[in-house]
Amino acid sequence: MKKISYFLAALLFFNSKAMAQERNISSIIPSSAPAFTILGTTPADISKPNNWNALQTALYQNLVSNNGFVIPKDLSLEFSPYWLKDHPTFTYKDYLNSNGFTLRNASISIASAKTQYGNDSTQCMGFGFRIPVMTGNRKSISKINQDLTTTINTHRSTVLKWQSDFQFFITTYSGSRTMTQFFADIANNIITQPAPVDLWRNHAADVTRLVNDTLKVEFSANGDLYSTHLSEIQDLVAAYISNLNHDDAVAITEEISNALKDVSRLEFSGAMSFAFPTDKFNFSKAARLALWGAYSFNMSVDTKINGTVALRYIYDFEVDTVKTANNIDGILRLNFAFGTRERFTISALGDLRYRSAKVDKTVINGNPFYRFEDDIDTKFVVDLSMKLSESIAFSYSIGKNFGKDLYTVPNSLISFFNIFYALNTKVAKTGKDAGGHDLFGFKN
Amino acid sequence: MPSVFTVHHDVDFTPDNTNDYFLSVLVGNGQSGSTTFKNPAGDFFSPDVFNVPLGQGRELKGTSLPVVSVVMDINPQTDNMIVSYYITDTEVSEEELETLNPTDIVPFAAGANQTITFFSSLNFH
Repeated sequence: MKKISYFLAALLFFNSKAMAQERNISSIIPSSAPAFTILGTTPADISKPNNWNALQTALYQNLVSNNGFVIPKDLSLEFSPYWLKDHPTFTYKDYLNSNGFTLRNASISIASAKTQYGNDSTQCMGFGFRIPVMTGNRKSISKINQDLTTTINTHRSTVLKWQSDFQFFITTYSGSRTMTQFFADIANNIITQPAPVDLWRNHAADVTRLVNDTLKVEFSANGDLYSTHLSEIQDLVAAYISNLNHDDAVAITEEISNALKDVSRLEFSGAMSFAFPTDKFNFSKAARLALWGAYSFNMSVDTKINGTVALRYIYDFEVDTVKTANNIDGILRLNFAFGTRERFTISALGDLRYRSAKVDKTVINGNPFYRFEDDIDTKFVVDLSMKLSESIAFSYSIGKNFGKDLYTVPNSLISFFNIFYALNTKVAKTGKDAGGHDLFGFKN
Repeated sequence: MPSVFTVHHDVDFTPDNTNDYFLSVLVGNGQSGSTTFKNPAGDFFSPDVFNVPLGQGRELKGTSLPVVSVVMDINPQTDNMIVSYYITDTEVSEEELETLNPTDIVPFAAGANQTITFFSSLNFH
């Protein structure tokens, strides 16, 4: 318990040194994966398992109940098959390598929700995939890759390097010396600057802050043998480092995400949905199949206007008395971001649909003949989003649905409010132990 | 979110007496990391440890050398980390390294954007 409180204490000390960087609003509001899109859902919380065990657990928790398979009520899951296993030789320099780019960044999504199906509301499941394609010329990709590699390398050299050097120092420090000598030797090294010189000369302030804020708080300069505290010191310093680096890690992760988007503006997706009218797996009906290609673009970097154009084909399967239909959508979405931290965004979507639906059947000489009815349909939506804090955003959507769609009420008004959040683990003081030491715990 | 920020591991290796050996450490899964190592000659290496000379096998036998890697999760698609240790009897290029079987690997499932410290001990038998 004492050991845990040591490094939780370290986390708290550095929580107060929270970095100024804030999450982009797009990192809070989830983008819609094909499985969610085909069901027309916008989940606020998407499960993203990144290994086989996590995927199995997520599927088991949602699909198995009382030793039987059940239709999940509200499942939102997206994963990248490539990343379900480790890749020991894939380094940070390889993100924009064209070999295997599509495979590495392809994703599969699964969703379930109660949605409109024909004239009723029915439990449906959607299954989708997303395949990004590397686009852009070799020169621009090379420049993006160079910038990204430079960012990561600079951080490695200026931050992670001194941290691993210091962890190496405490690991190899003589266990037969006392804690008094340990603190004295650190102070002495800052003056005499032995090898590794970079640690003691260029990062003297970082080392001093680390020692003052963590080690000197938790350990006394006394006659205790250093070896008796080595494991606790390693844990404490590691916890301190992790908290110190957190916001840098978030910022670099976002930079990598943006670089991946910049070089893969073209994306092919597909999804299929099934309806389960009895809420059981043994009776299902294919509901809808969709295939689409989308291209993202930046209209203006300065004013943060970007958008997506997409062409989508949707096949509606027959529902009750409603016959099959072919739909071709032309979609344009524009996003406007305001404020230096993109606190407000407005997103406008227009969908122009050409629809060809079977309306009735005539049988002549035993052969069925269908009559098709063609029409043009439209859908408009405007999303207004505001980031309230680093990890909470509100979104209000208003618009008009398609006039003829199996899954929505014709020409219905779109008007719904969403709250999105990103869990951000923080440490708070939770009380005191029997010895009067502060106890700390994680708080979401 | 795991409440541990350290991983401890032993890398066991039996060298041939007459061979010269080299150490390379690779941080995989697209994560960022710095590795610090001091070879038997007393030279420090960081943030990269690549083809670092260890000396002759007969001198290495019976010794243990610590290696420390600080790995930060930056991969948008996985929080998993993996550190690979290659002890080779010849210097290798980065391309060759990718085709070799590592002497040992240490995987770890970290939390989002965590930094984990890997403490490994190279034990020569």
